[in-house]
Amino acid sequence: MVNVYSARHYDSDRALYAAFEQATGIAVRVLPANAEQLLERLRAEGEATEADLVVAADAGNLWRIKEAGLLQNVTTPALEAGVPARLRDGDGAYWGFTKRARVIVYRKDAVQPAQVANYDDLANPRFRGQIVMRSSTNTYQLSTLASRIERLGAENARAWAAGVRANFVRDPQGSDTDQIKAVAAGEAQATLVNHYYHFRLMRSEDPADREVAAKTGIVFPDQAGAGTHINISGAGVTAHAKRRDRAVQLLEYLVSDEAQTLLAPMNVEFPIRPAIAPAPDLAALGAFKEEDIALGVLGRHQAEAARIFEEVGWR
Amino acid sequence: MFDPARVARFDGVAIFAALATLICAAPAIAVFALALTRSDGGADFAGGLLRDGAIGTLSLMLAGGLGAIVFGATSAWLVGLCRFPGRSVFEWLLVAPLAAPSYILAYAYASLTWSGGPIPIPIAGFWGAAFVYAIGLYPYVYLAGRAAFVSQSSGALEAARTLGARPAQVFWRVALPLARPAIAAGGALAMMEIAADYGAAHHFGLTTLSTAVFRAWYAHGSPGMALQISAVLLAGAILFLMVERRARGRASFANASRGRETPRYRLSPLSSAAAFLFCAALATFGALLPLAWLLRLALLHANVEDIVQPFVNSMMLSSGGALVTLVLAASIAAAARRTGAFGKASLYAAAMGYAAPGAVLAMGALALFGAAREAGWVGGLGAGLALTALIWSYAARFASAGVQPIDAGLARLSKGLDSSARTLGAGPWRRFLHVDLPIAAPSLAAAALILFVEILKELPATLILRPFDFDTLAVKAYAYASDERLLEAAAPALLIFVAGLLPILVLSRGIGVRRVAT
Amino acid sequence: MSVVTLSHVKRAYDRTWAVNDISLTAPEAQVLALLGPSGSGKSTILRLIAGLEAVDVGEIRIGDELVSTPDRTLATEARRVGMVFQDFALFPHLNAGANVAFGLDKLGRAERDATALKWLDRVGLRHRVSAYPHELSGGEQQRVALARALAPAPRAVLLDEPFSGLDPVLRAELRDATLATLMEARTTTVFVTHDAEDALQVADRLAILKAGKLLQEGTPRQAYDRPASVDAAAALGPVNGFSGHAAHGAVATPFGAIAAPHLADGAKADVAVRAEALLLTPGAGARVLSVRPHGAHDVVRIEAQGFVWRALAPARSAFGETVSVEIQPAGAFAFSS
Repeated sequence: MVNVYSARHYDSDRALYAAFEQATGIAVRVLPANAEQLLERLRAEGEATEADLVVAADAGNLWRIKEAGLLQNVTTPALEAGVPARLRDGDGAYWGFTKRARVIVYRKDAVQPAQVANYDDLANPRFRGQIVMRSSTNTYQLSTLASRIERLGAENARAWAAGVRANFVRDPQGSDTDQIKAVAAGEAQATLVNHYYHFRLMRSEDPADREVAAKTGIVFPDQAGAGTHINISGAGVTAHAKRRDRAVQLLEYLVSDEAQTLLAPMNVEFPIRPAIAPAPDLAALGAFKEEDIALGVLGRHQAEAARIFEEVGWR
Repeated sequence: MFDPARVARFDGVAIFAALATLICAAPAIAVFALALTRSDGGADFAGGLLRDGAIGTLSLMLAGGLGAIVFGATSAWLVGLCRFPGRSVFEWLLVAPLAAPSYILAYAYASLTWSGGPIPIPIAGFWGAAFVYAIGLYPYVYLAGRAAFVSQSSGALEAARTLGARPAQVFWRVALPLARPAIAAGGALAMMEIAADYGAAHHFGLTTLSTAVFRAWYAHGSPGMALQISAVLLAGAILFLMVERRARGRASFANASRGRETPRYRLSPLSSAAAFLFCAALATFGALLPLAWLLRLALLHANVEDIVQPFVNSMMLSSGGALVTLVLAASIAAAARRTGAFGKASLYAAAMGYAAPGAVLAMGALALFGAAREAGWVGGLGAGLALTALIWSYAARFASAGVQPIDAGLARLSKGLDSSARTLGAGPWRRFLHVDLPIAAPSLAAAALILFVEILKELPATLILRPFDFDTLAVKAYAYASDERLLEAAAPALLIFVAGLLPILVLSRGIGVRRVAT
Repeated sequence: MSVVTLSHVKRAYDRTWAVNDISLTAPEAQVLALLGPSGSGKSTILRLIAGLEAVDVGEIRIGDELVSTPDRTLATEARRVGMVFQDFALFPHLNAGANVAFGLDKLGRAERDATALKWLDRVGLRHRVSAYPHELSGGEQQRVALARALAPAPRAVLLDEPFSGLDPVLRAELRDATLATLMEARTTTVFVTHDAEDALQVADRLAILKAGKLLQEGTPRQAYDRPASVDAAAALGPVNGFSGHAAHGAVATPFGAIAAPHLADGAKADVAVRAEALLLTPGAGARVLSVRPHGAHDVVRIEAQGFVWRALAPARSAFGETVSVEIQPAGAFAFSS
């Protein structure tokens, strides 16, 4: 038996754990909840915790759990070979096992892809009153701005956030999917979302969702520049894991060829290694240039990102 | 009324009640303690968040609460004292929105009316949220108001008619003023729910004290700031309750009701049509429309096998939680009647949690657990302990929802009964078990049903405190909805709705029965 | 002021007639008392007159206006009848003045307040105008309720057991005051009570009811002196009963004979003898079982041939172990059974 605290609620993950159990005979017990709440629970449980592995859906969250001293450093050859250095913690506290891209979604019949080729375009005054955005309480927004702080400095990041804020159609409301729907409905020209939300709409059983996807297009931004912002889902072994070896075993399994190949078709995230092919509809978009920063910095800049959002009035 | 025989009697019941109060108030007290001791940065934004959050919460309480009062009081009057086609169906149908958690209503309305949804009038922003709260929470006012209208001394209403008052005048000049305390109490419940709600306000992009708590926690990564904002929310709740109780206390019309059923007004055809349309609109927008939409989504993506175990878990947890909370709430309510200042204080203490987001109380419970662990009293948060902590959080959060109806039921106990039981040699436990409880039994049943439904809908505390591999319907619905998979979320959400509907219908019926009995 | 007339009125509850074929007239500016035990239908008659319930059969008129038929019930608020409820039904959220002014909303503010005050003054409560119902004593509540009912100048006023909740001393006082107020207002009044003394003291006309039926209707004097049945006799005070047979224009009882010229020889007869119609003198004929004080009288239980009757004798009369009994004809009635 091995116990997992997971901030990912996907059915694909359950299939993955079942496959692990099949292969090793080790049962996986899962407690899915919010990353922030799991952190509080781990903190209160201290050394008495039952959790062996923590899974979270954003590098920033993983960094916070590490900073709270609730993860232990683990390094094995299989992990090092499986996860590119950029997509893991330098100390080995957490390891990425899927990738997601922060992409621009635009309205096909009103916007040329070239007009939204870069993140900066979202702050361009030509889109005044034509951009919708999700709340900055969401961790993906925080990490997007954090990467900008890392590459271009806080002042630049603030100017960008203020520029985007100035282009808002309305105050942020709803989820990533709601932003895409707003663009499809003609309420806005473009927005910023995680790529898989758009693909889910394409695959939806609801015809209305598929229509939304058809009306909108995806752009991987900054291809001529630093590359598209990438985030990870990752996992780390808890500081007080009672079943450390099994936790490491599960961690290694998550980045193994078998698990990655299993995950790819079920999920529309990118496998952690370029060698594994993503889902066919995702692969059809072709390769793209990824932003080259160590994801550990995302967490470090998150507090400042939140501060900037607060200052420019993007809540 | 001052009754020396009831003041400051610290018997066994009172001591048990003191313990119950402590149990219910502990997580909230822990939140206060943590707010004072824990600081982890981001404080320079606390002021702005607090200000905007307070304004947001107060305006939403006002707009949503007033809406709920107008919807609830009007429908209570129509159904309780008038006669028009469909009245007997609306009598129970109007309670249905109570089965829907606010966050599910919010998600349903967002997908129904936002950006290319089937209804082109967007229910969004501040007024959208106020609408969702009003249409989802008016049943609190409806239930309290209807009971008040129906049990009003028929004499007062008849007297008004013999003095020449027309139906509308009877409503404005007699029935409404007499039902005002009950309507205010129902409105207060709705407002507390609004203050505690996070899901709907967040989805609609509003800054309230509750969303500020989570912004501080999630975005600023500062649980300390979150706790401090929570402490303000809790203190505000106590203040709100004190004002509400005070206002109600001055206007309590304990009236000996007579054993005659109040005759209903037969409405003119035009008024009948208006009454029908009004009630139909409430039932449609509060329950039928979102229910139908969820059903459509659920049928698009049927995942039945996924929700069987969560359904069983939800039932077990809701029943167990309701039972425990009921016992605690009953003893608090009973003690509040027997002991003066102490009883009042325990009512407030138990009520704090009702205006607090569940996740914050869960944090308080977690902190208490952490302290107990460090003291070496308990080990890890295994399944047993996790469920205990969870049920404890439910009690802390919902004790007030149980205390209110029980308190109202006990208010029907005449003082003579307690005295005569005493002259017959009954001790405090016998009086509690053999006098107070049986007489308050209908209210206890009502309280149990309310608690069951509340716990069924509860999400944040369940999310954080449950054991491994233990999902409830609410958790399941949330897991999918937070992952923006509304289709998958629809089936468990629908099931919460349906599972909550049954006890609510029983509840609604029970009040109908009482009408004949009083 | 108007005459209130009921013609063959019936009203059913749960398939039994709560009011069974009642025809009655409340004469203009007089007090009609409806006397009967609980379940006699008297309160229902009041509610029918008020329009709070509909008639199943028959009709009710107020003055010339037909207000209730099985097809049509004029709304209570349009009937202009005042009512004083058993629990007074004062509006707890309004003070005494506002309670009385409630039915005067067609008047201007100044006139309304003046009228309310005038009526409070008439019932002697001018000084309590700002008091709320819970601050008033039972008697004061009753007087406010009466003032409230009379203030709008109703066509008739209905009183539902208005004295039943009050203590005996207060009751007599209040009864007289109420009667004075009603006389002064010259209002047609229908007054429901289960108390014979109330009825006899207040009523101009008396209707005795039992199980939804009218037993007797007339002046209090007629009802007392010439009851229509044993039940009617018993409704107005304690009576002793006996069943026997008529012989030679009389019915023999263990305590003496009772004239019954209207009964044929051998007919079965029911006898009612008022307790106050038994005159006891020293002698033989009946055994004294007990003597108990009862105000100005003593209640004496006497026995003859195994029958026990009760008699009212002047207080502190000295009786031996036996007495001689004389039945006074004015209080002794024989009915064919």
